[in-house]
Amino acid sequence: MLNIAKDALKMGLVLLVICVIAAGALAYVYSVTQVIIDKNELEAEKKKRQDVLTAAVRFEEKDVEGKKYVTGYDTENKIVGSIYKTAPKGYSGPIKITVGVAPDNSVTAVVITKLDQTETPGLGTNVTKPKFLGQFKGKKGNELKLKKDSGTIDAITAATISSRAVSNGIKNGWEQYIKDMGEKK
Amino acid sequence: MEKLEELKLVVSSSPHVKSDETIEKIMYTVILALLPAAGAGIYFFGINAVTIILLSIITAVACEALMQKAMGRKIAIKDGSAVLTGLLLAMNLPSNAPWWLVVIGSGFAIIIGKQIFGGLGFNIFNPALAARVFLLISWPVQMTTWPKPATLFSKASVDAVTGATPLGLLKSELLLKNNIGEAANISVVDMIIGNIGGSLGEVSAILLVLGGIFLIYRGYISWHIPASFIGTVIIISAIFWFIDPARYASPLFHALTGGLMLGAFFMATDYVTSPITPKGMLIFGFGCGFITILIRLFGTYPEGVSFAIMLMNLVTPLIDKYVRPSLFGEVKKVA
Amino acid sequence: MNRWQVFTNGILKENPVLILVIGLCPTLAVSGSANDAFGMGLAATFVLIASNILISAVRKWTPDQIRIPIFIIIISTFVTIVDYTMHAADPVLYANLGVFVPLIVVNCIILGRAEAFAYKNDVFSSILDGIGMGIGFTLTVTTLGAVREIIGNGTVTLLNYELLNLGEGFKPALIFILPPGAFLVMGFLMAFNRLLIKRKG
Repeated sequence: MLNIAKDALKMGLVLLVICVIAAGALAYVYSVTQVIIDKNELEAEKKKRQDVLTAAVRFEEKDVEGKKYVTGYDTENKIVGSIYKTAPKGYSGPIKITVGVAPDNSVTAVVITKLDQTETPGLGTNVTKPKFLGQFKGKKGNELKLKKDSGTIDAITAATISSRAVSNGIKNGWEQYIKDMGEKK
Repeated sequence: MEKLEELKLVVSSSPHVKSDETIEKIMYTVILALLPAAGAGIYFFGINAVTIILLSIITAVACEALMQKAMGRKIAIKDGSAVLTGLLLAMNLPSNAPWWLVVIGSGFAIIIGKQIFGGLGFNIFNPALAARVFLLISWPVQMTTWPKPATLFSKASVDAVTGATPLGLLKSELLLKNNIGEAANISVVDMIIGNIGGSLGEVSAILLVLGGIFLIYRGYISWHIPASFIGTVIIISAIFWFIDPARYASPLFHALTGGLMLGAFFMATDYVTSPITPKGMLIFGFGCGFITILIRLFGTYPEGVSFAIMLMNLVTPLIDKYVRPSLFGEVKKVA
Repeated sequence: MNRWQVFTNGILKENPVLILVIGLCPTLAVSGSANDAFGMGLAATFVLIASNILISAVRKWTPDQIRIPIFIIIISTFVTIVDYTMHAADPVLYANLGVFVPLIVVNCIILGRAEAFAYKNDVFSSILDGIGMGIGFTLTVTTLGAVREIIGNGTVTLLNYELLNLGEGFKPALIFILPPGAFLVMGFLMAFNRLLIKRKG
């Protein structure tokens, strides 16, 4: 009886010691890496804003109708455009899209980084390439749809689902944006 | 190994294969039965079809010889099985397939699809089908660009005009308009004679059926697989068609388009990769038909015949295991 | 078995992937490109060596009945460290590997070596075993990744540098960067490995 209790105590103690050491090590690593992870994410976000509104030097976040928009200003404090985000469902999970819109309501640029999507490598991931995203520049409304859906965007061959998800996502986001922002102008 | 030998014995004792039949004779008869449909492909798609068929057959035979030599086996290219594989693959390609696609596909069929598994009789997939699926997944663009049929003698440049296959059209109309749209306007006569887009050997339903009936009449294949395969496709598509004819194409449409006739008569009936008992064949055919129509109606691909046959190839040993012919006098267990 | 054999075993004769055929989940899932595969290889190797050292070091005090929970705690601690570090150091790689980084915890190679080797041998041998097995795994997945990437995408990238690009004229065979391609290439690597062993006698 005494032996069993002693064994159990020993096992408990060994496990406890190992768990404490493991927890301590993890806490330390977490405190160091979390700072870097947050910083990376912030910088990635900044870079995306800059990429879609190249002329902007200052950004301001705005809440319109409960949705977040970002407005960019140039050096003379003039509005160069706004940014909206959308995350339509792609072939395998959501695709996070950052879209810049000029004051005349046409799209300035679209950014999807590799981290923003989980599409099939080699096929769906081509939606992140400038060759595809560049097509959206300067377009508005129904032009933002795929040619197959009577718009003006060429789908990526063999990745129609991903292409359609992106173009429809941009278009739906654009309509929402016009609805939210239109009344203010 | 022993199991396989055992099963092969059953094959040779089946009633429809006479003892004086050689592999050679079977292969060349099947090729003969395919020729009219291949001819229709040449008529509709022109000289390109001839090039592809020849290139595919030559590559297949050359790879067969090379592999048999490399692996120390007897060189048996005269048995016609490589020729048949080459011809079947060619008939499964679009008529404007680039030369390298044909060569890679034909080489894949023989090397990976057949010889690596141990040669004729040991392959688990129909080699031509394995190659077609390999090509379709690898080069979806080249494998799904279909030239419109333009008869051999009309000079309407064959390369220029491409269009969707009836099944491809069906799928895109459904995605866009949520109904079958223009796919309803394709003439039934065109579908029967083969004046539609598609792989060069799959378009002419009537000639494929005639070839198949010839093989059944000669006793080289039995009616079970084609009948249950095509029957299942027709019955299931008919059910959906009755429910909502605006969204689902007619059973006739499903029967006459795509690779159904070619697959049901010439590829699903491959001795090596399909079950050996009549009951097993009926199950096999039903499975093929069920998966085909499932992919056509609800999948992302417009056509599912080749995927369906490949999947059923995989379960063939299982079917054979459970549907064994009972010995004379054996008492059936109560199920 | 001398120490040199302990070290080389994992690379050829007892290659975890090609001979023991374990750790297949990450091998097949993340070998779509050489870069991802190499990252996975390094991450698993680090966990393997570190957990081998620690398990070997505490083996004398470990009660037999609870050794498996202790292995798991040690392994998962190192996996979590790798997870955090990779997230901070290379977010793109981290996103590409996705769920397969935390899944290193249940990688058979690591738990297998802990149980079969580190628990029974001294620390130095366990390090050698960890390095050998780690190199074997890394080499295999990276080769697999490189072959799949060349045929399936026309490029080879390693450590985020593009080493090779076959250009626009090359028509990649997409199947190779999709799941079926992993099985195809792995079959050939297995055959090649056996050929090498046979040649060496």
